[in-house]
Amino acid sequence: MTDAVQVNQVRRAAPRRTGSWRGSGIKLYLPVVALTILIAAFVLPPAVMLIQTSLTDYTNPDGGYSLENFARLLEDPALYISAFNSVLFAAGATIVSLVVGASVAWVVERTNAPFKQLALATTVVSLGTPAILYVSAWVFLLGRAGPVNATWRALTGSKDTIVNVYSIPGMMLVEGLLWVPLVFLLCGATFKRQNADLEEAARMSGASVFNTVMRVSLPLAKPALLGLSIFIFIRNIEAFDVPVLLGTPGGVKLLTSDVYLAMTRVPPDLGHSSSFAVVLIVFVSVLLYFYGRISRNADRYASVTGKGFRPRPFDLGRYRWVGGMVILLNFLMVLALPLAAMLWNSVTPFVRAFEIRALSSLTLKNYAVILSDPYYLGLAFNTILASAAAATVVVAVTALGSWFAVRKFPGSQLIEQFASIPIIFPGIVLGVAMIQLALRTPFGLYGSIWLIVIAFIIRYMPYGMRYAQPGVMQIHRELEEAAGIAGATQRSIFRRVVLPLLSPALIAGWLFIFLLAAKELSIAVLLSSTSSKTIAVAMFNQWTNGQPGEVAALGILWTILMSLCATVMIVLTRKDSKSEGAL
Amino acid sequence: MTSINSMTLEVSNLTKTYWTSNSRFPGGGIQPISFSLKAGTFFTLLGPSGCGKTTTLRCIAGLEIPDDGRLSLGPTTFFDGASNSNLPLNQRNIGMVFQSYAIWPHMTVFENVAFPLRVRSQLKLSAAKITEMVREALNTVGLSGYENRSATQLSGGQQQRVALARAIVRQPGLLLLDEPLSNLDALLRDEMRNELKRLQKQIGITTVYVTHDQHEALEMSDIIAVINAGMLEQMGPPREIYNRPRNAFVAGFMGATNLLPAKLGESAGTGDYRTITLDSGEVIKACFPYPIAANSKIAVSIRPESVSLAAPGTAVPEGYNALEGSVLSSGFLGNIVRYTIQLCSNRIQVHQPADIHFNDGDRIAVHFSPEKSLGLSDERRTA
Repeated sequence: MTDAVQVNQVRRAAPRRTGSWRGSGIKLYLPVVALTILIAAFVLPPAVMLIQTSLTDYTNPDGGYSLENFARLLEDPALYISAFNSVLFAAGATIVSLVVGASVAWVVERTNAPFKQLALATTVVSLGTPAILYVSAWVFLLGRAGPVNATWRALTGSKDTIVNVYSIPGMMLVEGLLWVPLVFLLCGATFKRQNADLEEAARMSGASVFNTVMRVSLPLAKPALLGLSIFIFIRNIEAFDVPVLLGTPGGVKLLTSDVYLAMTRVPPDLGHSSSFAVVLIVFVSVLLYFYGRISRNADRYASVTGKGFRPRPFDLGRYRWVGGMVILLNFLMVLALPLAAMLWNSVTPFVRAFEIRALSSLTLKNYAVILSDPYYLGLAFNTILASAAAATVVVAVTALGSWFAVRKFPGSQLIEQFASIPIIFPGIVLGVAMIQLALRTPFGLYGSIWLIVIAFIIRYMPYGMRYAQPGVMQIHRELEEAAGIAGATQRSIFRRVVLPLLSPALIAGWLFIFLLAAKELSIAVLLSSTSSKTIAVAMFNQWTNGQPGEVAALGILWTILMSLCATVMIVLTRKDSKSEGAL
Repeated sequence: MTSINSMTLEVSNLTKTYWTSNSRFPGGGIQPISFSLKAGTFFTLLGPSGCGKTTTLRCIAGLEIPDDGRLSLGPTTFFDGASNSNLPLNQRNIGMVFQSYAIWPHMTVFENVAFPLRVRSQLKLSAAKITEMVREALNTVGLSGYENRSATQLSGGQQQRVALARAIVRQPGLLLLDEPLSNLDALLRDEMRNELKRLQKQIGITTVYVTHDQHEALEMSDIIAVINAGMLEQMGPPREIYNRPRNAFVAGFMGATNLLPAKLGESAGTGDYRTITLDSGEVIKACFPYPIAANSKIAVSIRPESVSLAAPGTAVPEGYNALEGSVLSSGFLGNIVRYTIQLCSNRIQVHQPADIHFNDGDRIAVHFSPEKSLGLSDERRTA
């Protein structure tokens, strides 16, 4: 029959028509193109600026572009020392946070150990606590006069210290503990998604719990854990707080602290810090490339299938208390000890060790100062304003952007790429780039709080995408098609159907960005002026000026406030169990 | 509700081909298809999954843009390939029930049904009028009193009804149903089948229904279009499709049948009887509902219920075909017994009343009327 021939040789009789059911032409293109331009206007200038300054030789400003900065940088042995230190520090810290965080996550999600709620509470509080507070707490605990070294001296009678927190191992420990809460959350998501059927099949085949974990659970989680460890490693390479607060006083140089020092020198060495920043970006980009490849593969190992999926915890039997101990230890190290140290510091008039006779001198003076001084109120206002404004803009832009991108609106191809660019900027690098941008803008952006807001928007754009995109993917296509058939325009489909369904993911994303921004130090420390200081920067200044009591009191109050926000975020993310949560 | 809104749907030479990124072969879609539905018709697109029936429906809805052809409902042209005009779906005034129901989980039942009235600001409906229309629609589908329920608290059948109420609330000119029953359990599906049919007749709305279930299609439709691999195989009323299938595919798809391959020696005209030799060597007499050219590959379709089994040597009824075989296996289904009979080289299914009993391995005579032995074209498409 002729039909049979036709099917295989059918010609493209009619031209393929452009447009989709969503419409066609300028009406559909315009909002997409406008949003793409908006995102590009945020993310491209800092990148361009950075490359431009890194190529400008400031000793010979009229000489055009040159590779002079890079040449000088690469000749300087200091670069290789800093790079080596950075890698060593990041690797050690990653191992610490991964071992602690993953063990706790496994115990909490996959066993019947006691005290599970405690692990969650630990995470909630730590997410809201500025890193500088932890660092100061650990400096107190492990410092020369701190309880650890004091006990050591009391026991041995020697005059030496057992631990030196101002060293690479000390920094690894502190930085590692800082990332435990996030590792706990992300690993928890992975473990929760593992299908217990696979483990039960292993148990039915005769394997012990230990064997099951080693031969089934761990190999299944391996790609996810590998991806996570690269991610944490990147964050540790970019880390700023610990390198500056512990490394610099201890004479340990790292890449990020070098950038900071070059910027705060008088006069600032822009070319040097920019080329340093470019090196850091290249380094991070390479790591991100591998991270992207691994996390794509990790999807294939996700063993959740369809409905009726319910993870069943292992029965640890007699060893339940071991699981409980892991959770308790985590609570102690990540929350209780640092918090106790902060509390102690906040009620003592000057830094002194834990001693019975110090009890008589306890005072609430530090709290009184903070609560009565309008200066601190101004700081809190600045911080909340900057973080809330940035979170709002990011969530608004990425909600619309991910809708365009996921639904493949014509012209939306670039949205995702642009919104992801800032992920390669370490905070300190973005700070350097923003300073240079602000110096060239005619209107008084430099030193204003809005400069910090813009930097935060750029920095957290990828995070917003990470929350909004899976949110849109979860909305069944037919819900939008039904609205279209019902007569709704694209605008009202977004407003009446997409936005309400997306709101849990958006609220969780907003809070996550808000929390991160509220404790962000590396960007704010470079961009803030006296009138645009944030809480984290103020604590940093107080700390370097030697006012640990006020740092602690301020920190305790701030931690309480932020923990409330973190609670809301965790509740929302856990309720919406399909969402991946944090980046 | 009135039937004023019911209109004629005209589909002519509708074409839509999906191209995979670089291949020279189409990845699916629909070859030129034409039909015209009188107002109030219940029209079913029937076919196996991936045959293009849903593509056709989505083109009518405006969810896909056809490559070519023309679509119009009453005086309104939805799409015209010649003038490259396409009416956006939100201006087409049609109702559609989706396979997943697509009930918006963040709205109450009332808000779900009111949505089509609210988003069309040009209708300028008062709040009272909207309430009245929503009530009427919910009443029609039997969900009065559920207005304030959250849509997520409803059972599958109730969600189905909400989806239906939402589709008919603004009295559209056309109702599209995309496998609406496939997510319901068997009992509820039967109930909703009758309910849908009753509602459709009551409202008198022209309806296009997509399904892969031939029982649904037979019971509900005024007209069925059987589609396979993007092509229209046959279109007609249910009885015609079942009793006079156009070809072997349609016969096989519309209920259980036995297809015995053969080659037609001389050409046959409509209604002719021919004695033919099956590929297995057995000779039977078959009836030809449609003309077939000489030397065509054919299949003789015999429904399991048209065959009777008898002990060997039993007298053959006047003019009947008689073949010999043995019982391979049998299954008791309550009202009938289903036998698998091994003939010379073919195996056939036979349904017998439950009171006749044969044992596995028994030699047996197979009798069937030439009238019920349909000689059908069996040129396999190579798609």
